[in-house]
Amino acid sequence: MNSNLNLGSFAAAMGIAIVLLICYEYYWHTVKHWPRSYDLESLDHWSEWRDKMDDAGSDDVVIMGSSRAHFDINIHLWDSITGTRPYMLAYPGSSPFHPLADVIEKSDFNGLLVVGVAPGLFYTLGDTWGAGRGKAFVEHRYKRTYAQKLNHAIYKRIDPLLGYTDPTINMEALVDRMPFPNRDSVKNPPAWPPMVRMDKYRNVRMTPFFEQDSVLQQRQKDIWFGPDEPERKNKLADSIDVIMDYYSDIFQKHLDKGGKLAILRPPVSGKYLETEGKLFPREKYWDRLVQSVDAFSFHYADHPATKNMDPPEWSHLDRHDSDVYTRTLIQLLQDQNLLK
Amino acid sequence: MLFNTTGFIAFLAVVLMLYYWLPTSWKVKKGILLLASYLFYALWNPPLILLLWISTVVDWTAGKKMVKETDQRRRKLWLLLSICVNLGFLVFFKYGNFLMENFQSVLGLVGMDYTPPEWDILLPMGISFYTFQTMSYTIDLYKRRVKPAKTFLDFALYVTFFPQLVAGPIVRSDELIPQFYEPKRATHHQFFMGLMILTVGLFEKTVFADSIMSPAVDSVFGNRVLLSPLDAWTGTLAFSCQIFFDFAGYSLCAIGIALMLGMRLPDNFNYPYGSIGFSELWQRWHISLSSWLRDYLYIPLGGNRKGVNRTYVNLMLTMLLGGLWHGAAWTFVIWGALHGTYLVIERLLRQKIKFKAEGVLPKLALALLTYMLVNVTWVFFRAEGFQDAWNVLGSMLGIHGTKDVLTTNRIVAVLVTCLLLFLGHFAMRRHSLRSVIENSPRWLVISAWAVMLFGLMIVQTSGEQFIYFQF
Repeated sequence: MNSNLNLGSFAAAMGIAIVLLICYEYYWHTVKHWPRSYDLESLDHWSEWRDKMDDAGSDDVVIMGSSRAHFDINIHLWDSITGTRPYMLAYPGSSPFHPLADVIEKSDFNGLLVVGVAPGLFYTLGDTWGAGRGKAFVEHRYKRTYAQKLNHAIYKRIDPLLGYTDPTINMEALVDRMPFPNRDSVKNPPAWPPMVRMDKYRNVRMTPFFEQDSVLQQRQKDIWFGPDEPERKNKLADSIDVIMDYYSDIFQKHLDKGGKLAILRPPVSGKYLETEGKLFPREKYWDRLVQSVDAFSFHYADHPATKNMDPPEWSHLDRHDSDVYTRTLIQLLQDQNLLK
Repeated sequence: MLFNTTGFIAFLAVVLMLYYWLPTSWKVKKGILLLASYLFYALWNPPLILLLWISTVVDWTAGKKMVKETDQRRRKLWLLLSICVNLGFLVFFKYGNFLMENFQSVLGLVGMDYTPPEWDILLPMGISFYTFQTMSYTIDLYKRRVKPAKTFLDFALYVTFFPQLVAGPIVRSDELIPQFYEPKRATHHQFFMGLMILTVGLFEKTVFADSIMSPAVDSVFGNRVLLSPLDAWTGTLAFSCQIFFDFAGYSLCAIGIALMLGMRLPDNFNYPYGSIGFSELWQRWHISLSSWLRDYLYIPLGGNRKGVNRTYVNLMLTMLLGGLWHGAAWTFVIWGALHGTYLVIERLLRQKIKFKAEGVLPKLALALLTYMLVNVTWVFFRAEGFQDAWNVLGSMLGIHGTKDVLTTNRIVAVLVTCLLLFLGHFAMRRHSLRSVIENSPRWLVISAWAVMLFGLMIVQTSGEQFIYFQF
C-alpha cells in the first residue's frame, strides 16, 4: 500500500497531535494542578530583566538573592504601594555571589539594592554549588546568541499559556518518574511538586492548590531534606572570614556609587529553622554580616509581624504571608527613608 | 541557529513563504536562499561569517583561474592557495590550542620550560564541514572531474546552503550546484515527505538524544568515579545511541528541509548499527565524510593499489586523520586508530578465513559483535581524557569499580531504546526510510507522524546544541 504524503496527511497527523496535546495539557494543568507559568529557572528570562535593569535609576529597586527573596516578595504589591515595581533578579537555588558582582561592578545602578540571605546558598562563593548556578546565568546573559534571543522572544509567548511546559515535567523528568525500584546506593532526582507560578515580571506566587495540599507540602519538605543535605550545607559554609570580607567589599562598592542597600533574612520554620540555626548560627553569620556592612538589615525574627510566620514547606511564604512580609518590608524601608 | 528551536521553525516558515509565494525570478529566489543562509549563520556569531566569505571568494577565484589556466604549475599554485587558506583557517581555529599544548609538551620533554600565551579561540560553527566541502570543489576542478559553477551566486549558495551548512552532509559540487541552475519547486509529495523527514530528524534529536540518552551519558562520563560494569556499559551504549540520534537526526533535518525546497541532498546515515563488519559500517556511518576521506585522502595516498602493507598503512593514516577531524585531542586520534585497526584486522580475517554468514541469526550475531566493538571506540570519543576513558573501559571489563550512579529508570530507558535501535538497524539493512514511509499503510504513517509531532510539542528541551557542531 502506498502512502503518497500530501497536505491531508499532514493535517490529519497535526490534528491528532493537537488532540493528544489538549489531553496532555488537561491532565497536567487540571488534574495534576501544574500552573500556567513562565519557566521559573529560565536563563533567558532572567537575562531579559537584567538587560532592562541597566536603565534603572536612583529611585528604582533591584531585588537579588535566592528563592526566598524571589518568592516571598510580591513586586506587584510593592508597585501598588510605592508606585515603583522592583526589578526581580533573585534566582532559585543560587547564591547572589556572581549576580551581585555583575550588577554592582558592571552597571551604573545606584538605587536601592535588596539582597535576600538564604544561608545555605548565600554563604557560597566562587564556583561552589550554589554560587556556580549563579555564575551560569550571569555568563548566559553575556554569551547569548542572537538565535537564543530570537527563541526566547517567541517561546515566552507560548510558555505561560500552557501548564505542561514546566521543566519539572519535561520528557527527561518523566523518565525519572517511572516506577522502577533503584539499587540501594542510587536515588531518583527529586520530583518537584507544582509549588509556585511566575509571571512575566518574574513575580512569583505560591499556587492555591499547593497552599492547601499537605501531601504536596510534605513532598517538598522531603526534597529539602534529603539524606545528604545538612552535611553538604555545612561544608559550603566554611571560610567565613573570606565570605564576610567579600560581601563587605562588594556592598561597599554599591554604597560608594551612592546606592542604598537592604539585607533581608526571610522567614523559615520547621526543620529549616532548626537546621539553619545549628549550621549557620545567627551570631556567627547574620550578625557578623550586618556588622560588616553599613546597611539596613531586616531579620524576620526581629519583627512581630513576621517572627511567627510558618511557611507551608518550611522555606517559602504562601500568598497571604508574602503580602504581609512585603508590606512590612516596605514600611521598614520607608521608615529608614530608603524608599519614597 | 539550531534546528531544534522555535526560532528556527519561525525562520524556516518565513524562508518557505518567500521562496514559494514571492512572484519573482529564480535568481532572486536563490539570492533569498543565500541571504537566509548568511542570516542562519550570523544569528549565532555575526563576525565569523567573514570566514565563510573569505573561503567563498578564495575558492571561487581559484576555481575560475584553474579552469582558464593551461599552465599546470600555475594551476597547482591556485589549488595550493585554496587548500592553504581553507586548511589554514581550520588549523588555526580548531587545532591552534592543541598544537600549542603539544609543542609545550615536546619542549618540556627536552627540558625547556615554555608557557604559551592563553588563546581564547572560538571554534566557528561548522568550519570542518564547509572547509571540506569547498576543498572538494577546488580539488575536483584541478583534477577536471567537475565543471565550475556557472555563477558566483550558485557557488556561494553551494558553500552556504543553510540546511547542511553547519553539520553536513558534506555535499560534492556536482551533487548540489547543478540543482541551482533550474528553478526548483517541490511537488506536494516531496514537500510533505521533506516535512516528515524533518519531523523524524527532530524527534530523534530532541526525544531520544537529548531527553533519554543525554542524562545517562553525562552521569557516567561526567562522574570521576570508578563505576560498576552495568553503569559503565549503560553509559557507553547510551552515548552510542545519543551520537547516532543526534547526528543522523541533524542529517535527516537537512535532507528534509532541502527536499521541502525541491532539492536533494545525499543520505548520510544508512542504519549503521546493523552493519556486519567495519568496512560496511563506514559505508553506512557519516557516508559523506567517509567517502570524502576515501576520495581525497585514501585514494591519493595510493589506496589498495600499492600492495598489502601499503594498503594497511593508508587505511590507518586515513582513519587517524579522520579521528583528528572530529576533534583536537589525542582521544579522537585513538578513536580513529581503533577503527583503522578494526578495518585492518577485518581485511586480514577476510583473506585468511573464507566465511560467509548465512541466515538471520549468524548475521545478527556478527552485527552485534560489530556494534559492541564500536562501543569500545565510543568511550575514547566521549571521554574528556585518557584517564576517564581508562576508567570507563576498566569498569566495562569489570576490572575495577563498583559505584552505581544511574537510576533504574535511566538504565531501563537506555537499554530498551538501544536494543530497539540495534534491532531496527538490523531489520532496515536493505531498506530506506523513504521506501518504508512510501510503502506503509496511510493510517500507520499518519499515526506515527502524529505521535512524533506530539512528542516534539511536549519534549521542551532548551535547544541543546547538536554534538557535531563542535566538529
